[in-house]
Amino acid sequence: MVLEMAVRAGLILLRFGDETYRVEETINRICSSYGLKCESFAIPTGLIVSVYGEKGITTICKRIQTRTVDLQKVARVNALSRQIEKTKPDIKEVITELDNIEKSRPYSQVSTVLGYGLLSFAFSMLFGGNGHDAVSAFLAGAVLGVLQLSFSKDNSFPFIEYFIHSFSAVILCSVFSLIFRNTNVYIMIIGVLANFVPGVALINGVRDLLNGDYVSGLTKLGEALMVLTVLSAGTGIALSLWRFGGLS
Amino acid sequence: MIPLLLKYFILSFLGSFAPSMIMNIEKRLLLWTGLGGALGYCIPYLFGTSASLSASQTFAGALIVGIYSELMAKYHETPATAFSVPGIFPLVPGIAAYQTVQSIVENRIQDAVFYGINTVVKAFAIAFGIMLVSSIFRTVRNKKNARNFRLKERTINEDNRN
Repeated sequence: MVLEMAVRAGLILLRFGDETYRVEETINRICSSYGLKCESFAIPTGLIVSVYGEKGITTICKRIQTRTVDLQKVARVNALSRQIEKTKPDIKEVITELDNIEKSRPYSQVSTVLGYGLLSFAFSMLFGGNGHDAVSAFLAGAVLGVLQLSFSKDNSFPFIEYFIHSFSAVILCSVFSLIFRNTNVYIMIIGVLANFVPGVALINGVRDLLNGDYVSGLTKLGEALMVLTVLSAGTGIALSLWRFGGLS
Repeated sequence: MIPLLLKYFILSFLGSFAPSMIMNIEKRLLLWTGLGGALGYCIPYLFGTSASLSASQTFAGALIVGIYSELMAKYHETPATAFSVPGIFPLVPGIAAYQTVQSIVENRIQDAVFYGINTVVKAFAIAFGIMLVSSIFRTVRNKKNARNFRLKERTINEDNRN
C-alpha cells in the first residue's frame, strides 16, 4: 500500500518533468518515513521500486509513455513528501491528495495560449524587432499555442509534433509577413520558435549528470539535442519550400 | 542607455514570465521567475556593446540565473528547476541557431559552420554555468548535512552513555 503510493508519487514526478535523482530521493523518503526499507531505480522512461517487508520483497515496475512539463505538480508532490516525512498522515489521505494533484489544472487554456503569444512577442522584440514584428509574432505564437493544445490531447509521436510545430511556425510567419507591412520574417520566426526550446530537458539533464546519474542525464541531453535537430529540420524544410515557391 | 536597459529589462522579464506560464509554475512564483530571467539577461548586457550576448556574457548570465534560482529555491521551498528553466530562456542563442539553419538552406556551408559553432558554444556556456553553480551549492549542502548527521550521532551516543 505504501509502495503503491510511493510509486504513484514518483510517477507524477517523472511524468511532469523532475530530475530522476530527486524522484528516487522522494520515493525513498516516503517509504522510510513509514518505516520500510526500499530501493528505487528511476530513468526518464521507467521506474522500478522494491520494498523489503516482513513477508518478503515486493517490486513494482512502471513504464512511462508520455512526458509533459508541469512544474507546479512537481512542486506540490515535493511539498507533500516533506509533509509526509514530518507528520506521517494516513495513507488514504495521501492518496486523495495525490489524486488532487494529478487532476489539478492551474492555468486555463486561454492563459496558456496567451503565454505562447507573449513569449513570441517578448523574444521578437528582444532579438531586435520592431512593434509590427512583435504584434504579428504574438498572433503567430497564439495560433501555435492552440495547435500545441490540440496536439497534447492525443498521444502522438513527439518528434512529428515538434516537426509540425516548427514547420507551421515558419509558414505562419511568412504568411503574416505578407499580410502585415513593415515586418521582418526571420525575427518573427526566431521569436515564435523560442517557445519550443527544450529548457527542462537541458537543465534536468545537466543536473542529473552532475549527480552521477549518467544514464538519465545523457538521455535527457540526447532528448534536448533531438528536439533541436527536429526543430531545425522543420524550419529548414519549410524555408526551402517557401523559397522554392518563389514567395520570399 | 537607461531607457534601452529598461526596455531590455521589461522584455527579458516577459521572456521568462511567459515560459513559466506555459510550464504551469505556481502563480505566487511567476513574478520571481520573471525577475530571475531579467537579472540574468541585463547584468551581462551592461558589460557588452550589443543586444545579442557573446559566449562569455551568456556564461555569466547562466551563473547569475543559477545563483538566483538556488537562493530562491531555498527561500520559497520549491525545486530550483522552477526558477532556472524559465530563467535561461532569454539567454538562448536563437538568432545564431536560426542563421545556421538558414545558411544550410541557402547552401552556404562555411557560414553554417560559423553560426553552428557559435550556437553550440553558447548552449554549452548555459549548461556549464548552471552545472557549476548547482554543484557548488550541492557540495556546501552535503557538507552541512554530513555535519548535522555527525552532531546527531554524537548526541545519541551521549544520551546512551547517560
